[in-house]
Amino acid sequence: MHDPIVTFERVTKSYDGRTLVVEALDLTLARGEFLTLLGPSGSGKTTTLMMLAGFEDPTSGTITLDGKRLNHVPAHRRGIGMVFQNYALFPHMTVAENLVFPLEMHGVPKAEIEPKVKRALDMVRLPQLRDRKPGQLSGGQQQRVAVARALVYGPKLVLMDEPLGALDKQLREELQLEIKHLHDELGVTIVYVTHDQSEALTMSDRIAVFHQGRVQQLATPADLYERPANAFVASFIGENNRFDGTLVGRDGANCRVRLPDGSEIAATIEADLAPGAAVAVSIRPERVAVGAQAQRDNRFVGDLREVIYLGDHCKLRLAVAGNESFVVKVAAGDAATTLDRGSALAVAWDAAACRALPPLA
Amino acid sequence: MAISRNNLLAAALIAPLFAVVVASFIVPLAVTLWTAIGNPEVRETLPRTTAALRGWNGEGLPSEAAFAAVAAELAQAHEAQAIGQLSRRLNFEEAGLRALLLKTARAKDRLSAPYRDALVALDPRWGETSLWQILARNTAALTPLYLLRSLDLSLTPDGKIVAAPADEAIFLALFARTFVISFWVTILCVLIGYPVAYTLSTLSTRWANIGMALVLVPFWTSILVRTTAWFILLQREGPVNALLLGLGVVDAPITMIFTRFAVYIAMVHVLLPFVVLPLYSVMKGINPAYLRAAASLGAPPWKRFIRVYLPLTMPGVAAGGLMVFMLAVGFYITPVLVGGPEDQMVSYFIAFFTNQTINWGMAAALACLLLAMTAILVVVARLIVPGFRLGGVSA
Repeated sequence: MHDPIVTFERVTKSYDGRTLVVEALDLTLARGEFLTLLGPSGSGKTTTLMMLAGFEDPTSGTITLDGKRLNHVPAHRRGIGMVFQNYALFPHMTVAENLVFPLEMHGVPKAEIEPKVKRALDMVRLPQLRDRKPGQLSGGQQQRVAVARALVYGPKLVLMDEPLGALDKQLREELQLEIKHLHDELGVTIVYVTHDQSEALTMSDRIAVFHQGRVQQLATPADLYERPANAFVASFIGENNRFDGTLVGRDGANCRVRLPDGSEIAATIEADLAPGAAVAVSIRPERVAVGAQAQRDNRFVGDLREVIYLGDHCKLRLAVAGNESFVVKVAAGDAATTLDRGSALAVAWDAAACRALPPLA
Repeated sequence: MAISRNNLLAAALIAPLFAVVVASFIVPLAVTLWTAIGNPEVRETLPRTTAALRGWNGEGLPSEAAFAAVAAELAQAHEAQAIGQLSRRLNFEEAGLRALLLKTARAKDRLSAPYRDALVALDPRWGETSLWQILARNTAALTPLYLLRSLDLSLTPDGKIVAAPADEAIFLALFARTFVISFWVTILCVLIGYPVAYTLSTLSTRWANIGMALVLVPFWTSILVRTTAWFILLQREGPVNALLLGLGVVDAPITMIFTRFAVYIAMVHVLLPFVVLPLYSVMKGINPAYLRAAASLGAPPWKRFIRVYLPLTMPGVAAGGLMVFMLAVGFYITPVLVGGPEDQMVSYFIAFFTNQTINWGMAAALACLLLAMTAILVVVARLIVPGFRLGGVSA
């Protein structure tokens, strides 16, 4: 990476000396990038963020910021901005006082404080609320103020810990774009923690998928979706149909996987696996064709269980080759949506659209 | 229809609470205030004298009728054994009147008309205008004298408010002492209780429970027992002096018992839980994210404390401090047991007037003034101390 701002080298964190919350983490963050740490709760993503912020110490390993070792540098000397899940605006201060606080703490000259506060409030479009107390603001307004407060003194790096988790869906999507646009305008580096995969896909330059204390994959949103490194990433990012089976034949990137019921699937493979290895085959629901005329590399006849109407499209749930909840996405007017439950329905997909993955890294 | 039935039901449900509040709070308060200004003795014991003095203009001497009435009614009161209260009351107006009244009551058989001459002959004081002015003044239903005396003021016979004589002017100093002691006890309790509550709030549940038990066990012990314990500990030959001597810190035992120092130690010990408990609950409710946010915004530890933690815990400081102050102002047994004569507080004199001199008017007046002064101090504190809310947690 040509201009790294943060590096994690073999960083491990354990609270009790036995279970590793974060295990041998290597991560390099490019200046100006928007990196999301994505994972289920307990996957180590928040602990990673807290170690970077200075609220947790790594058990071993090194974290550097701008080439300087951060171990044992207290949080208030790191110069890293942070936005918290529940905003953490000081309830006894007005909005303006909340913004003045970091400027005073960083010794900004008095004359420069007011223009900076004004600019920050304009940036999040809340200049009229400067004299309100946080308790008088809505959740969305509070979060905008929290973002303004983290950015007002101009930190190079800003951390965000599930900042939109407490907001409703519509507001969340609105603020996702606002934060993304602020990132583009200010050129600040952002590390963002979330468990919401669509949020991660919307905002990030790169996403690190955490599971069981390890980064399962670090890639761009498109790569994560199109080329998941393992079955966990495939199921965590987007919807996914999964077949567990055994690798029976391989020719470069093409392979055949035998399922427990004896049927075989033609798939592509990147992982370094030899025949006989257990694999999980992943197919995205929108890559499956349905109907009698559907002719692809793989063709099965499934048993229709359910039709779910979603407005712009429908989901069909079928039993296919031992998978009881095989999901297919079709257009809302598709003929298959008028079929009765229990009808037989052919499904087909290309080998290129389906990937044989290691069950878990 | 349904609404009025609901209203009736609601009224019935709150009626017991209302009755308790009235019976245990409003009635005693009203009675105390009434006792502080009520003046029934002359009116009830000397009704005819009261009537006879109604027409007197306060100059010279009253009519013969007044002399006749007072002679007859004093004798009646003596027989009915009601003269004690009256003479005590008038003696409070002017020392020596008790003896005069008793002497006059006992002289009944030797007195005959014209009573003016007879009474003056019995005691020349009956010929003084000031005595009759005092009598006439106290035929009124209310008297300001108790409240005035409690403020080191007095009334001349002709009704002017003047400073009380130096040997009776002890009450302003007493109030000042009460509030000074209460103030320092409150400050000490907050200074000691704050770190205790903070430590408890940071411990794990298990250790916090143990710590809380250590705070609460003394709280559950009788205040008399705790004070008596200090009484023993602080003796000249007591364990504290023995320890200090044994360690070679001092050469001779220090006088601790019956000093202001002993009062502070015992009161702070007794009152500490009242500041720890509200502080603990406020501190428990503070989201640690505020302090993390302050750190991430560049605040070093002491600035996080001054700018964020302290303001957020102020409601607890205010609630705990207020509670300690209110309780300290009314303290009685602790100063009595471990303090010297110069360390007694208002309650001591309330007890003194209630039990020793049976002057309920003074006891009530002191109690009312103590209540009023405390209320004024609390209001002033609310106005000048930032973040101060009466026992409440502000947003």
